[in-house]
Order: sequence, then C-alpha cells, then structure tokens
Amino acid sequence: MASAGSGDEKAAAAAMITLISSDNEKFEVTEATATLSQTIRHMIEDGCTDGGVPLPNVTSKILARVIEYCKKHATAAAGEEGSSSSFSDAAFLEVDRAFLEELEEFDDAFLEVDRATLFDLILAANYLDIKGLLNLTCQKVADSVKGKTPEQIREMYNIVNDLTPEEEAEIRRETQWAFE
Amino acid sequence: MPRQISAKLKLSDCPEDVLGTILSKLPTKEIVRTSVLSSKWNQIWTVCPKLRFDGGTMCSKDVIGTQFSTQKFIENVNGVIKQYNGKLVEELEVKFEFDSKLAEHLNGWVSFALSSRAKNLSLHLLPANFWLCLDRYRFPFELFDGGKISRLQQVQLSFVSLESLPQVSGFPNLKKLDLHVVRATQIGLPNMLANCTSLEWLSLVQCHLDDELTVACPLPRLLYLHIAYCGLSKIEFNAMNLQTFVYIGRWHPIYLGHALELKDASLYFMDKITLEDALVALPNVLPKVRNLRLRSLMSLETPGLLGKISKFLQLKYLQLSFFVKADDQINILYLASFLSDAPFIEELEIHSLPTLLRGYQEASTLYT
Repeated sequence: MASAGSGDEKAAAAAMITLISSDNEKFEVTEATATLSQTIRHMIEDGCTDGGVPLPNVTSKILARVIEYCKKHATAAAGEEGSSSSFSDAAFLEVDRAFLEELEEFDDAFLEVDRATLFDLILAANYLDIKGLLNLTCQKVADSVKGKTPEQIREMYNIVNDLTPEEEAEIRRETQWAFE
Repeated sequence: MPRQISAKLKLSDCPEDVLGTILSKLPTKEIVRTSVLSSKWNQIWTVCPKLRFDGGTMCSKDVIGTQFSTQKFIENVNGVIKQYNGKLVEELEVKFEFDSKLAEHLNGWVSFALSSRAKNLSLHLLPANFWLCLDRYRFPFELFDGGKISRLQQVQLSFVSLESLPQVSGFPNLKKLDLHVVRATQIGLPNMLANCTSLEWLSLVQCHLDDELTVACPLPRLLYLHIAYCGLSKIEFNAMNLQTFVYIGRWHPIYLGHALELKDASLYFMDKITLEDALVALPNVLPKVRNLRLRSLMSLETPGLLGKISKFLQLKYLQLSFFVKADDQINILYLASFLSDAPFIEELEIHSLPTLLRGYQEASTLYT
C-alpha cells in the first residue's frame, strides 16, 4: 500500500484533466490516469483538452467505473517505473508480484457487475481505446460463453434462432467437427 | 425488462472489432459453433482476427490417430478459410504433426495468411517421433517474392526446412523469428535473415544448419539471440545492438560483431572447457557483459594464464555452475582469476554441480 500512496502523491503534482460524461457530469483526473485511454492521450497531444474533454458516448455511471479502473492501473504502472533502481532484482520481483496479485484481485472485483453494465464498459473501453480494460471485459464475456451449448448461449444473450431446422441441420453438417 | 433488451441489442450489435476481440478469446471450435446461433451469427464469427487450427481439436474423435485424420483436418481448415474469403486476419496458427499430404495445403494456408495481411504466422508441425521422419515442410519462400511485401511481424516454425532462394525479399516487418527443429542449408538461413532488417528477437532450437551459421549482413535491431542444441561449429553474427545472448551447445568460436550493448549472457557449454578458454575468449565476445551465467564441465588448470587475459570491465554479476573432476578439485583456487579479471564485480554465485559425469555426457550426445 505504501507504494500506491507514493504513486498518488507523484500524480497529484501532475496536470489534471476534466472529463465530461454524456449526462454532463465532470470528473477531475490526473493526466497519468487519463492517458491510459489512447483516445484521450491523442487529444492531450493535440492540445484539445482545455475546458474539459466531452465524452458523449459514456454515461457518468460508466465513466466513474472506467476512471476507477484507470486510477488503479495507472498507479500500478507508476509503481513499476518508480521502483526499478531502488531494489535489488529479488526484492523488486517480490514487490512486483505483490502488486500483480493486488491488481488481479482488483480486476476480479471490478468485473462483478451485471451484464448490461459489462457491455457498457466494453463499449466505453473500445471508444476510449483502453486496451487493458477492453481485454479484461471481453475475456469476461468469452468466459461466460465458453463450454456452453448453442441453446444455452441463445438463452443467455437473448438470441432468437431464426434458422429453419433444415438450415440449422445444414450448418451443423458443414461444420460437424465443431459439434463433436 | 429494459436490461434484457439492452443485453439482446448488444452482443451481435457490438462493433466488429469488439466482437473479434471476444471471439479471439475462445477456442476455434467454439468460435465456429456460434454459426448455428442465428442467421446473423452464421457469418458474424468470421470477424475473429485470430485463426488457430489445432489437429487435436479439429478432427472428430473417431478419426484421430487414423490415416483419415490428416484428410479430415485439411477439409476442416479449408472449410473455415473459405468462410474468411477476402477478410483480414491478424494471426494464423497451424498445429498438426507433419505429413507429406499436408504440404500442398500448407502452401495454400501460408498464401492465405499473406493475402489476409496476417502479422503472426505459426506452423507447429513437429511430429511426436520426429527423428523417424525424413520429410519436412519446405517453407514456400517463392510466395514471398514477386514484389509482394508481407506484413508478418512474428513467425514461429517447427519441423520446416528453409531452402531459401538466392534473394529472398519480403520480410521487411519481421520482428520475431522462432525456429524449432528446422533444417536449413548453410546459406538458407543467412539468405532469409539478410532482408530481415527489423528483426529484434531470434531463437534457434535444435535446428540443423549444416555446421556453420554465418550471418554477415548487419542486424541492427536484434536485441535477443537464443541458440540451443544446434550442433554448430561456428557462429557469426553482426548484431551491434544485441542485449541478451543465450547459448547452449559445444564450445566453438562465436562472433557477435561489436556487440557493445550486450548486457546479459547465459552460456551452457556441453563439452569440457578450460578455465583458460573462458577467461581468454569470452571477454572478447562479450566485452561489456554485466550479467554472465556460465555452466560447463570445466577443467580448472590454467597454465601460463597470467598476463594475457582480457578483462570483463563491466561485469557486475557472475554465476558459475560447473562440473569438476575429482582430481582437478585441487585447482579450485584458480577460480579466483575470474575475480581479478572482473574488477567491478558485485555478486558472485558459484554452484559446483555433482559429478554426474556419465549422465551429463549422455545428455550431450543426445542433444547434438
């Protein structure tokens, strides 16, 4: 936790960015947090962040969650950079592992959301181009589908089967190996 | 039930690249299986940018291990590729024990990877009893010629032969090349590497390269070089920015060019070397090495060594693991020469390995 604190202090001195959600709520974040989003990083590089960054595709509810994710992961990234020379290899690896475990626990807890929120997070991560968050949330959807029968997947995601029994049988015949 | 509507809207209405990301986290079998969900899904799954064809999961259980399995695998892969007609693919991976019936189709799949602008290509064709198989897949360099520039950034090949044409262009973007049980003529690999100017990472394991490997053209981006069990009698590279070198093999001349950035080296010699060899030759090959791990069967006697050794001027960490014969143990103090040779050393680890001489020699003959 000590390293997380020092990360925050370091970040506090850095420039702040204002993000504006679709429902006009403002969020002040550090540049280090904001630039986990490639979309925002490019805006900062182009100097278009004065007066705040409007994000018309992201609601305040989702943006708050996205910022929570970015804060945690930006701290982790800062910790990795900051501590490199002050530890010998072994101690550094030890700190590293503790960090990664903490991060993993955070990610697991972060994903405890209903399906609608999960999809909103995916769309936000895609729009903001936050690779880590996109991978994390897409993995969660993939895991929910893994090992399920087509019937189970249809039910889970409300997919209406509009194929005739003949059409379905034909597709299954063509890709028989996938159904064994 | 607004939530349900929202969920219903979203899975198939997700942007194509998001769906691709979700699908690429599933096994190929499950990706293909989504084609039966609905008429829309019948085509959607081909947005998945990663294609991984694994013989173990792409043949039905009743044909695995029979003469029909290759035929079935080919049919199934071709069936999937047909659906991808004209689409972009990031990654193509084929995992199947090589069989000469596969060769022609592999050419087709490599060609597909090229025209789909793939960045990663992996062909894992190593059969379980590979030493009994003479025939290997001849990599189709001709597909890379004719002005077509491949976008390949990573290539992994096993059980392939590289008989390269005199001038192979076509790998300007290649960053990582991983070769395992690959056979090449003496000029085959150098000819291929001559045009890999972006190469950063190269690994050669159990490759048969016809005795010598001399890569004269400069590889200025190469950072990592791994050569293991290749039975080479000479290794020569011109990799001026190399940072890491890992070698497992016999004690033979190694030239890496002026590799002044080389910081980490791990060298496991499978034959007997003398302490003198190590102290005289290695500082020339690795002049600026900081971390060195050296493992060998070592003879410690160092006749006439003093005064003619070069020095490891940057060496900070040294790990020595060695086998010493019983009658040589009396010379153990000669190891101190390493210390006078490396004036700035900070950490020294010495592992004297048990004298399992016979087992060690057997292992050496097995791998070379």
